Formats: sequence, structure tokens, C-alpha cells
Amino acid sequence: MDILTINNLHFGYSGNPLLNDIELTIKAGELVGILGNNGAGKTTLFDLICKIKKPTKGAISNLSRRQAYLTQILTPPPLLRMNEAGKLITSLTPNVSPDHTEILSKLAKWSPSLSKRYAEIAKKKAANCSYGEIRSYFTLTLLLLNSDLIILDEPTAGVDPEFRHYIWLGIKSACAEGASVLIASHYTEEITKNCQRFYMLANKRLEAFDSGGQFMERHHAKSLDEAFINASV
Amino acid sequence: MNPNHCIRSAKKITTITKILTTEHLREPTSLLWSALAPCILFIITQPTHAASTYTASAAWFYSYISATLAFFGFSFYLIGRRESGFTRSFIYQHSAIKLFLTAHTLSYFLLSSLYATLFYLLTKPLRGHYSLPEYLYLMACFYTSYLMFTCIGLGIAALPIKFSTASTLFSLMSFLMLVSGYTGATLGHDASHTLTLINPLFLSAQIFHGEMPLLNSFLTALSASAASTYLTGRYFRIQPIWSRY
Repeated sequence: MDILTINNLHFGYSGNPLLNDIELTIKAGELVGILGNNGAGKTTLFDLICKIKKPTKGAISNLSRRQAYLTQILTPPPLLRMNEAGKLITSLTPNVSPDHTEILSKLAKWSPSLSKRYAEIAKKKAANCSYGEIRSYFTLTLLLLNSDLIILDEPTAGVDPEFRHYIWLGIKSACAEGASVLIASHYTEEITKNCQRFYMLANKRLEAFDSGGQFMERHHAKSLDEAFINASV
Repeated sequence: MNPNHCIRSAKKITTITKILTTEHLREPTSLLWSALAPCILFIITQPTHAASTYTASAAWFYSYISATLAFFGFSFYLIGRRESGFTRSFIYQHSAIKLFLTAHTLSYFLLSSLYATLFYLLTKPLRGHYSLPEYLYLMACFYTSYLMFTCIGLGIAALPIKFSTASTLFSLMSFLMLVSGYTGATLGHDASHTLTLINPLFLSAQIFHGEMPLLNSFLTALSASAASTYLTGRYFRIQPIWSRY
């Protein structure tokens, strides 16, 4: 069953079209990527799915009951410790949220060192955390909220390889537990390697691909990045 | 409504209220300027108003505390969270907006009660013994004043203005209220008369002086504040003004 279906979606800013005739589907438990260059409209598409914006035309059928959305900009209140900011965020979601201890034990099952690093960040004040620490902490927290639809806008941007590895581990675990994940990124390799299928958002349209090979073939490229560049022009 | 859902929402509101209150109490400048500075000023200027009653002497101070909390605390926080992008990231769904606004309102109810109580506890001994009826009367006047100022603050928070512009606007409003109050008090009712009459700080002091009926004022302020909060939730600004989105 499709948890999210988008048909013939159109959107623009001040009369300038940004998205034209967008078609997208995602099934329960599916991991779907979205590639696109800066300004292509990935964030706008996510805002439309989350009803932050209204489409000019078209329909979005979002059947999720417990949705989580990680935006690009994450600015927790600087005076709060990260575990307090995390608790604030989880309390604002419609889900029944796990507490800090439950989160730590779940992370420890994935990796004891990840659980330890998460616990260390949790004690720090948000003002003293790096961009990557904040991003990793909130991505992992949102992934553990028992959501049925998780939308992640560039979760691995600015994140070190260790945390990037664990974020993908968390994403796959969430999918294994039945969540559908829609993830935007600039990194062609991580999208093609980890996602079951993906879309390329370019020239106001979404183009669907089943594999990196198909992506390169359709755009007459020898590498994924070359295919990305060719698709964008 | 599902009772489990109600219990879960109540728990979430309690948690959010606790976090927001903790966050505010960790801000030392707020504690200094909103809570301690008025106490110190009242103690320093005590000999000049020793002839009048405690309520009459302290009315402007309580009004100032309520205005500062409503403007620079309650309303400015909404603008701050919006402009930092936090609202955009985490408070965009109707359920989250409801939870956040309820907890935020509760948090500032607690904080305003705490600040007013602190002022009473620190200044009252200069003018006699503590009195529960007097304290309750002052708190009722204080909360009426606070609700009145939240309406103005929410009006400003609804404007499409950046963080720095909002800060200037709140500072300007506080300064104008102070100037109007000062000229009204020193020059009597002449050129500044009209300005004084529309000064919210003056109107607030009138409530403490008993020149405006407390019950009617409270009910009016409560209704206006509830309506303003409802409208804020209904038309909640999610996107930061600086954002290209």
C-alpha cells in the first residue's frame, strides 16, 4: 500500500513555476531517495508533503499518522542541553515517544560506541555542539520516534563518516520496522547505494530511477556525478 | 475525545512547560532586568514614596515587570524561535502548535507569578508585614496587567518582522511608555495628558490604584488575551522572515 502518493503536483513562487507535474509514490517500509541540485525544489517538495505550503495544482495523499520531518536548518534553543532539546522535540510530535533510556538502549543494540557518543552529546549544551553533532543527534532521535513516514532533508550534510554510517543504519532499521523513509541528498553515491529506488529532481520535474546504472545509462554518463550534472542541465 | 490521548497530551504539555521554564530561568540577563532591577530600584527610591501606601508605591513597578515579561519574554520568545528556524523545523503541525502555545502560555504564567512574588517578598518588608489578602490582590492586578500586555506583544509577534526589528520595536514601546509615564507624573495633566491616558503602563497602574474595576479589567484582559492566543495559533507564522521560503 502506498503511504504517500503525489499526482500532477504544481507549485511556484510569485508566478515562477518551481515544480511541474510531479508524480511520486512511496510504499510502507520503502526507502526512497531524492537527488537534486541546490535550489531544485527538494525542500519545497517536502514542505508541500508536510502541508507547510499549498500546491498550486495537483493532489497529495499522505496516509501517515505519525510523521517525522527533519529539516535542513536545525537550531535548538542554545541554553538547553541536547537531551532537553531532544525531549522538547519528541514531546512536540504526535507520536508516543521513547524516553532517553529507551533511546540509548536501542542505539546500543546498533552499536555500543554510538550509544556512548549519543549520550555524551546529550549532556552538552546546544550552544557548545558542532553543526554535525546537532544534525546527527536530531536525525537519530527522529529515527527512533516510531514514525510511519520519515522525511529527511539532507541528514548527512556536514556529518562525519562514523555518524553518517550510523544514520544510514538507523534509516534502514526504521524501514525494517515498517517506516517509509523519503530522503533528500546531494550525494549521488549514498542515495544509489542505500535507497531501494530514487528520483532526480531537475528542471522542475521528478524523474524516477530504479538503480544507479539506469541513472547513468539514461543520462549517458560514466559516473553517478556525471549523470547528476547531465540531468541538472 | 479519547481519554488516553488527553492524558498523553497533558503529559507532553507538562514536559514542554518544564523545559521552557528551565530555559528561561537559565537566562541571567532576564532575571536581572525583569526581576532584580525593579526590586533594587524600589529599595533605593523607598524614602521618596514612603508616605504613600505599598500598593500605590509599587503599582508602576509591578506594571513594569508585567510589561517586560509579556514583551521581552512571552512574545519575543515566539519571534526568536521563529527567526532561528526552530518553529519551521519542529512546530509546523496543528497538534504541535497547540501543544507549544499551551505550554508556552503556562510557562509564562508560572514565570510571571514567580517574578511578581519575588518582588513582593523582597520589597514588602520595607513597608510592613506580609499580608495574604494584599498579596492576592496584587497578584490579581499583576496578572490582569500581564494579560493586557500579552495582547500587544502577540500583535507585534504576528507582524512579518525580523528578530532585530522586533527587538527595536519592543524597546521603543517600553521607552515610550516610560517617557509618557514620567512626563505624566512630573508635568501633571497638560501636554502629555492624551498620551498618558493611552499609555498601557498608566492603565495598568490605574488597576492597582483601584481606579479601574479589577474584576471587569481582569475579564476583559483574559478574553482579549485568549482571543489573541487563539488567533496566534490559527495564523501561526512558521517560516522565518529572512527565509527564501
